Amino acid sequence: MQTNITDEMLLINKAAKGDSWAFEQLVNKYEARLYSVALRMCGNREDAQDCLQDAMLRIYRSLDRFKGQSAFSTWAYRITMNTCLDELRRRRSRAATSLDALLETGWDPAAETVTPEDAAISAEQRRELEAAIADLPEDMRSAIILREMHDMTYEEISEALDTNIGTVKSRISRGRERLRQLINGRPGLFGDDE
Amino acid sequence: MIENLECRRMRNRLNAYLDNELSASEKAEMERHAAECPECARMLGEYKSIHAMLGELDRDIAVPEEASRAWRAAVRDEAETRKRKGKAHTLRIAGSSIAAALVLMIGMTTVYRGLNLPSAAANNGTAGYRSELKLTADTAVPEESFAADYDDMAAAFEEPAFEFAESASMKSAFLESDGQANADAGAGSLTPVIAHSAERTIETQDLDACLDELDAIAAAYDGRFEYRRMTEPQDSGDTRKMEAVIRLPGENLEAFLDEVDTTGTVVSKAEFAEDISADYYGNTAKLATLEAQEERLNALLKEAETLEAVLDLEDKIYKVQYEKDEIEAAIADSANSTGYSGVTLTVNEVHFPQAAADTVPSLGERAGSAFRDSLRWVSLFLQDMVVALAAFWPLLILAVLVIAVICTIVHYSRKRRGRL
Repeated sequence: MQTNITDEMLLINKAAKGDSWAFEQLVNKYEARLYSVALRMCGNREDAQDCLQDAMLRIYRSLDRFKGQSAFSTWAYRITMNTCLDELRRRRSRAATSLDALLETGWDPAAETVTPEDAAISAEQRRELEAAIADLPEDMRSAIILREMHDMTYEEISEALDTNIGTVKSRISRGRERLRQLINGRPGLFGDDE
Repeated sequence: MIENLECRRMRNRLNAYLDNELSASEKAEMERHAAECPECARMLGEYKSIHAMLGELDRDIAVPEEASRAWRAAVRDEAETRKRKGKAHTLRIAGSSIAAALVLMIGMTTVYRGLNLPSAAANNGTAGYRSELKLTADTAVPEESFAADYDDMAAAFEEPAFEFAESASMKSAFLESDGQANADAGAGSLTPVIAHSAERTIETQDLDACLDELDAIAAAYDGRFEYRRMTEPQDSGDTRKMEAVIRLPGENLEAFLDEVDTTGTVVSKAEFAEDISADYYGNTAKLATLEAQEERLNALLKEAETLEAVLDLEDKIYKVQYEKDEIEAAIADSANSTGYSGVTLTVNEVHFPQAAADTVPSLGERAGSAFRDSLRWVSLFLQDMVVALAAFWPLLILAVLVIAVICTIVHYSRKRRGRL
């Protein structure tokens, strides 16, 4: 663990000086997680790809300001989340996009990820869940994603979202309840029809 | 009622239950209630399902290859751009520094020159300085009648060449003394006595060599320096200057001047011919009269019988002798001029010689001269710059430090603004 932290700091120092190879080595292990955040916040693959690219560039440019005040992963999550929130604000200024509107354009949430045969959740469940997440208000969505999907602690989430722990707990609580209501509105997710 | 309280407590603890923040007993209590309350059991089940499904949703998510390639390419481009900007920035800094240093150096040199401080170019004697050597020449027309040496000429005038009483006698006596024939004794025409002189102003870039040459020329033509003065420069803008008067036999004047003109660039020349006949003949006649008068007064003095007569005659003799001295001095001046030429010479040492007084340079010569002058100016300026650097190096270091601090502050403030 100590060696990993030291290696990570060495890569950070090199990347901060402009070494793009060092940067790629540094963020390789976080790439999937950051993409997941972008995908769930933006709700579609194209926007997620753009957000991921923007987030990576921001992380690369800001490396010389990272002084170890938090874990690098937490810092990277924060930049990625901010990038996604910026994109959502821009999207809001263009047009309100609801899940139904997205679906009308042919967007298929299930196409974002492949569901293996022996997956813990079915494709149907995945589809419903992704739609419910996309329907959450942004503040709840961000807290839920980091807590439920990335298993971050309340302290880490408060750092990533730049808010206090009380607010984080409130958003998570309300987000879970809202998800339950949304999912209850979509029959079949909990197997009610069975 | 109790059931509602339990249900409410269960709902309040749901998040803590999911986040594993409950103690084992609290957890057991909730599960116990769920077993008894279908509604709470359903709620707990839904929460747990959502919690589990969310945990699984992106557990094995794969980043699309296109997305992965895109951000990596973007980062590499960013790195390349940063390298190029870094090099450009370094070049800009270096260029700005060099430009600032040049401006500082030129400014310092200009200030330095303006203060008229001594410069290396002014003191090493290698650049040219202006000096003037003037030679004046006076010649008398009756060349052959007078000896080359002044003493001989003065002695020759101790005996009057003619008597004053009649102009014809004056003329014949003069002609007899100088050997020239003029049969028209009654015509009243005398041979004019002309004093010739000359002036030269010469420029040279090597004053010392020029003066050596002039000394040799003067010696070759039996000339001697009657007067010589050297002026050293007082300020960096001044130049050396030589002024002199040379006397030489009149017959050598023309040849002497021809050789003098080759020692440098003649920027001005003049030759004068002054008719001193009236003074010359008049003074000689006056002298004869005064001597005759003195002789008569001395004869009368010998025959004087009274003291009063003796005193009166001695007083008159004294006055006559005084006038004689004055006339003899005037004749001596004329004798000094006769047979000898006086040349007033001014030699100026210059950086950039002017064109010769009697030549009109062609366009090519002017262009070539201007180009050479500009090269010399650049050379002198660079020399002054080196001296100015030696004189102002503390100020220069201070200025460089101040500029470096300002550039650093500007650079970091721009960087900070770029991040915001």
